Amino acid sequence: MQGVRKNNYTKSLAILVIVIVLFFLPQYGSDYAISIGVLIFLYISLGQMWNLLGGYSGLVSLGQQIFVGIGGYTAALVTEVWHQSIAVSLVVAAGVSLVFAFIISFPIFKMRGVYFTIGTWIVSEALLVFFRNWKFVNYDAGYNITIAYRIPMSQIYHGALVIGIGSVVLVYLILRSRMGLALMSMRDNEGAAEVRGVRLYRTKLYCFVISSVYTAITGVVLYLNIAYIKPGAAFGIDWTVCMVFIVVIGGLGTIEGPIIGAVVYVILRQYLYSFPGISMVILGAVAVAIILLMPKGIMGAIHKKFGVEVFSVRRRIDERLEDGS
Amino acid sequence: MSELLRVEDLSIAFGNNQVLKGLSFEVNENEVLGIIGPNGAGKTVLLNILTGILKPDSGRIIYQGEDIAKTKIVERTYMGIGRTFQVPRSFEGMSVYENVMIGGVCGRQMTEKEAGAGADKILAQINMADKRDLLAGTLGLLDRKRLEIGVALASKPRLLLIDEAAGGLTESEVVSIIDIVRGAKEQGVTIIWIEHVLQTMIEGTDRTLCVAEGRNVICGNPRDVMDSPEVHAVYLGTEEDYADEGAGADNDIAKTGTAQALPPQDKTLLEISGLNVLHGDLQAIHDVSMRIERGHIVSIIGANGAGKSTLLNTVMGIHNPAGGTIVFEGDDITGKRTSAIAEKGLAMTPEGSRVFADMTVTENLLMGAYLPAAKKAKTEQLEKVFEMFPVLKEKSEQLASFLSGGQRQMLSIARAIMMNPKVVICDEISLGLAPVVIQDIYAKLKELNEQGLTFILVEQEIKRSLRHSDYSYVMVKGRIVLEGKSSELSRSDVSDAYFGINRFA
Repeated sequence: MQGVRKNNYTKSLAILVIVIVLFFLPQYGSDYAISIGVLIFLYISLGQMWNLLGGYSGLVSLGQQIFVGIGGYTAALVTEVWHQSIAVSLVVAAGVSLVFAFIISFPIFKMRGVYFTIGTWIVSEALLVFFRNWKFVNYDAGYNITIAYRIPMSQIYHGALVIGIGSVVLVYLILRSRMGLALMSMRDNEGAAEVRGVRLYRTKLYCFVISSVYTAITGVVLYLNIAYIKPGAAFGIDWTVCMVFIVVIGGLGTIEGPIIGAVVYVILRQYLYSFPGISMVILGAVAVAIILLMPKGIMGAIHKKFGVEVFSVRRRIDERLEDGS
Repeated sequence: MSELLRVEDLSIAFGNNQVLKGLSFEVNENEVLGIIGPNGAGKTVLLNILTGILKPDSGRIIYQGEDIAKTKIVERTYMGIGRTFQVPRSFEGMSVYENVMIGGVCGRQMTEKEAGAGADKILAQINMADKRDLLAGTLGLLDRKRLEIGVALASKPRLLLIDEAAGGLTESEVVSIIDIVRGAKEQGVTIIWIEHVLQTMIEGTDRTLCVAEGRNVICGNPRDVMDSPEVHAVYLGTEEDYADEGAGADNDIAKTGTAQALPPQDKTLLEISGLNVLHGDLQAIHDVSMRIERGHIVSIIGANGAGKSTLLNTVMGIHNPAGGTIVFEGDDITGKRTSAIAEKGLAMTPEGSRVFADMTVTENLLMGAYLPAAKKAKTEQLEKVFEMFPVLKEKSEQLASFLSGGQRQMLSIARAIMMNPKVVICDEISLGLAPVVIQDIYAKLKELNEQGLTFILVEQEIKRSLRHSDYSYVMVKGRIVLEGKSSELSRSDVSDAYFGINRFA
């Protein structure tokens, strides 16, 4: 038991060191390294949030680009049209996505399994068409988000870092809470969880709303980084495809999975820029290979082989025993 | 004693299949009520109705004086109704300790601290304190069964519904389950316990209810119920059923006469010796040996979980045995590929017919002639099959999903015959069918048998198996406990072997 404790200290120390190193990266890293860092942190957040749905709640949504789009457009409208700050756009994005997620939950939660998946996608496609024909958002022309040119890259980097770490902390806290037990039991066996007293609808709704709001906030920073938004890209299914890729290759239903997945995805995609045309084919082949070799993702394979978990949400008896003795 | 639960006139149907037909019973506070009954009696359906997973078509469920027929699943958990599942549904990615905590946190709205303290007591009660940090997915069968009860107990139920906690366990393991259930009773829990292992009823319950075909048959003191003629009739058939067995016996003698003309080595078609089969760490088949003679109908009788289907699947090469040999017409077929075994002339009709629902009857039959040898002769064989089963010819262009249950079973047999086999293995062909339909099917089997086809029948219904077969094996917990000519097996022998009361009590 002493060993477990010691191990925990080492782990916490290692995580702290990594966070500090990452925080000061803009001071010594190249611009390229910083831009890669931004992408990795933001994709970690997208992955964590999709994992909350697909990995734990059994809600396989193909419509989370809705919230990336809402975040992006909020950033554009708030800063370009209303000339307000980025902080305001973050708050507005959270508010709008909260209301929108809650409203669409009524129809789409009536659908189950693959119908839910298709339903979320249809909502996103409908929103895409609507935005293309909506004067208020400048039709299909979209916006240049000019505020992005004026803020230094290091600020965007730190924003992305906070959002990436924040997503991990958020999911960790949720899993350590009472709702976490319910979520894990739903992940393992939904029918049995309901009989044990888990309120499926309510728990799923919480997850959907939390995931959607945080995805929208991530969307704000994503589009500050891209600096240009139009409906086709903002509400494109590519966003969700990459979330699914990240979570599945990293490890569904684990906290570490989306982190590993995001790192692999971002770096792989950078290399694949040298193979235009077949880059998607290679990405697909990598996904298929990983799924075949490691059905539970990279993290699942590591856990099986070495028994390592970085962010353990296990309720262990040793913690309490030690307090007592 | 006051009444905790009363079930009145409960009925439910799935399509044409009326599973519960006005079932009524009551359970008193702190009582253990056992429910027994053959497969298909509607026991698990009853539990699913009590926990709210299924909605009954009619009838009332009065719990603590309140009709809960419309109450939701989780609400019933909060009201103190807990259950275990027949196939354990542990949360495999969570530790044993976390599994138990779910019961308190989700089922009783406790804080994690309260639930954690409660979980420690429950782990001690189910003898799993040393396994608290193991992932539930790594546990063996006994531990999973115990954990099921533990998780249910963690939500502090007033009424605990247990679905087959002893199935598949060894005798000493069964004893440990009985102890856990008794411990729960001592804490004041009321229990409804469904079980196929009848010994547990005598040792673990206060009262036993026998259910058959969706109705209550008899209820009372466990031992009286086991010994009652009504229960024996449910499992073994009535005296009258045995009386008109005469025709079958005559037939048997006649056939043995012709078979004796053959030299002994040709008489044996299939020989199984010393077969052992493992499912993970559970031994499903223990040292089973049997000999199937050419032209015979051989029946294998046994309760749910006796290992009958495992035995058949092993013969067909679907499972690999841990030891022993299977010889067909002098060739060792042990561990061969299923398609190779089928090619030698063994065909099987799986439990529940498994016809291809979205294909026509003809297409289904042609699927039976998939192997190269059979494919060549498919046109002639199809004609022959249509001749044997006129009803299938009539419906040849219809989708199999439009057939009745009996017709599907006919189609399943006909599909097996399409490959012109030497033996047809039938897994529970009478399950869930009306008696008239069953008679038709058995008449058809007899007809085919007279043309020289060998059959292996697996049945739970003893009376039917004995009446229609030449030779019978009785299986209990993976072992053959009795065998003999069907006409010579006495009712009391089969009854003792089947109920196992004399050997366990």
